[in-house]
Amino acid sequence: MTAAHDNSGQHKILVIDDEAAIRRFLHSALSSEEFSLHEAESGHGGLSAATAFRPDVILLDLGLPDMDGIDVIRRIREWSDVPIIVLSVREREDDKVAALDAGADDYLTKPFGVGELLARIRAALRRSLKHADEPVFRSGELVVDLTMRHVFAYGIEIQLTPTEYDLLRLFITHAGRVLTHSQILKHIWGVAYQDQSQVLRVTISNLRKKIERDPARPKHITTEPGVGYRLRIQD
Amino acid sequence: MKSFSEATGYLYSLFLVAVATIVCEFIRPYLVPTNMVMIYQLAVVIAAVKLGLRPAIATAFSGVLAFDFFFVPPRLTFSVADKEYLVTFSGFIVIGVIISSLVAKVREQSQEQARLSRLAEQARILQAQENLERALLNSISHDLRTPLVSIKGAISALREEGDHLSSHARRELMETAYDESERLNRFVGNLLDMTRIEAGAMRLKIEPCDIQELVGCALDAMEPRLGDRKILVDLPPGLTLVPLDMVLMNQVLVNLLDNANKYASDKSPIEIRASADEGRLCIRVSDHGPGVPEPELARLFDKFYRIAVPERVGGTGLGLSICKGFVEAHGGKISARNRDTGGLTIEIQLPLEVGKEET
Repeated sequence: MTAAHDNSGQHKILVIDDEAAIRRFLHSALSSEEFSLHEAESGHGGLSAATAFRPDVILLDLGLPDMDGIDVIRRIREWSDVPIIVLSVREREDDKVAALDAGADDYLTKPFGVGELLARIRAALRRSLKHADEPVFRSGELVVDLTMRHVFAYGIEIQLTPTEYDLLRLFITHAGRVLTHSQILKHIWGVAYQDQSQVLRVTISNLRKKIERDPARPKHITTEPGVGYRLRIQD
Repeated sequence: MKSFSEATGYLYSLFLVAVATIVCEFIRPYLVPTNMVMIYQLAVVIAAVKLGLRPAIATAFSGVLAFDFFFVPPRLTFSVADKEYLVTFSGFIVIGVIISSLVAKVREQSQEQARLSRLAEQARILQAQENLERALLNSISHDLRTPLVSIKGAISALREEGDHLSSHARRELMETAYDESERLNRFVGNLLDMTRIEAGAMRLKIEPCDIQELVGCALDAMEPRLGDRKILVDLPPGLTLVPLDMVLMNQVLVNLLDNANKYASDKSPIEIRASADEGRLCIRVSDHGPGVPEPELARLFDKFYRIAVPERVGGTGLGLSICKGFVEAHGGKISARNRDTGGLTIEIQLPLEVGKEET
């Protein structure tokens, strides 16, 4: 993506949601020097707005009146890589997974706070802007030197198995964003392992024992129940 | 209430007379015919009790005819040699009719009484249901409205008087609105969980789960509410993957932690322990709170049950009954007991082989 934002330096956000009250709240919360907002109230309206407006991030409500949100994601993915953040309610974990597997980048559970929303938007932008990958990743007490394959936690160098390292690196390249079980399994173990979630859980558990201060209360790799995992970015 | 049609009643009365006649035939060698009337009278009483007034009277008349025909000499004719039998006949008929009408009256009365008590019972059940529904509705509307009152109040103060308020007051109002909206959201979540349980429409997604991960997840969700309360986690090292629905069991643990956090004194720790034996996984969440009076322990998991507690504890009375619903959906059990050292322990037992049956 070459023109990630226009001359004013603002990132363009497209909101696709049929609830006027939610669009109104997002409009006030996001209209600032950093973002400019465009709104659509239906799936079809959203699809044409995505073509005309060329947003940097799309916020998509899954419960649209005219078409299935998952279809909106698929249609956009036919021609664009623009980050899509899905808005959904707590009880619909399966919908979230389906949206993520269809190509959405992340999700927010309604109701959400502005802090969470901004964190998701920034994580999504970070991916699409393709910052020249930093050779060293830092988050809180976790430091990973991606060129030398060195991992430090709490000032101590940690020895990881090749699989654990690959998994950690996958999280780092998607820092701040959720990854579904099947996305991780496909990426690290291959398509044949897509349903072998035990393998993933055991590896996550081992990785946590090595990089988390208290593996029972992980601060780096957090679990999103029923959906997947997320590497949280700390200051 | 009539259990037979009229015609069936008369058929049964003929049958009773036939039976009485056969009995009389057997005892004929030992009795004078006059005493046989007793057997026919018995048939009339049975008819009165079982069949009603008119079949009973029919029994009396056909009984007289049968008695005359079969037993009064000359036998097998309707003629009567000894005219004294005519007195027996009329006595039999009169007594039969009197008995029939008396029994019929008693029957009618008892039927009426049964009907009345049935009606009373129905009314009582209806009343109880209405009371329960009213209590639920009161409870729900109270829990929905209380946070809304604070939110609307705080927001309207900011909207209308915002310019005149100190920055501290504005901050307070915003915090109030925010906290109360969180509470409202939790309550709506609880109501939805409860509805899912009541509708029996729960589809479990059983997957092998890491217990440590489950506990970590629940603690993460509770973090803003736990503040700096100490949580002691004790999981045996051998415990690895357990088949369960991560989303539901996470909610169970969150509710248990929330409960312990609400009722236990501020600084006391909450303990989470797990163990596996005899094909069962056991998770215990214990606090150092006031516990629950023994007689009330059993009601702890009832819908909308709240123990009498200080005002500051604003529970919805749904958390633990949701836990019960979710645990039972796993084929497990949940129970509560007071600790010897003070405080409450809630114990969940889950079968470890559940994953093999469900996919």
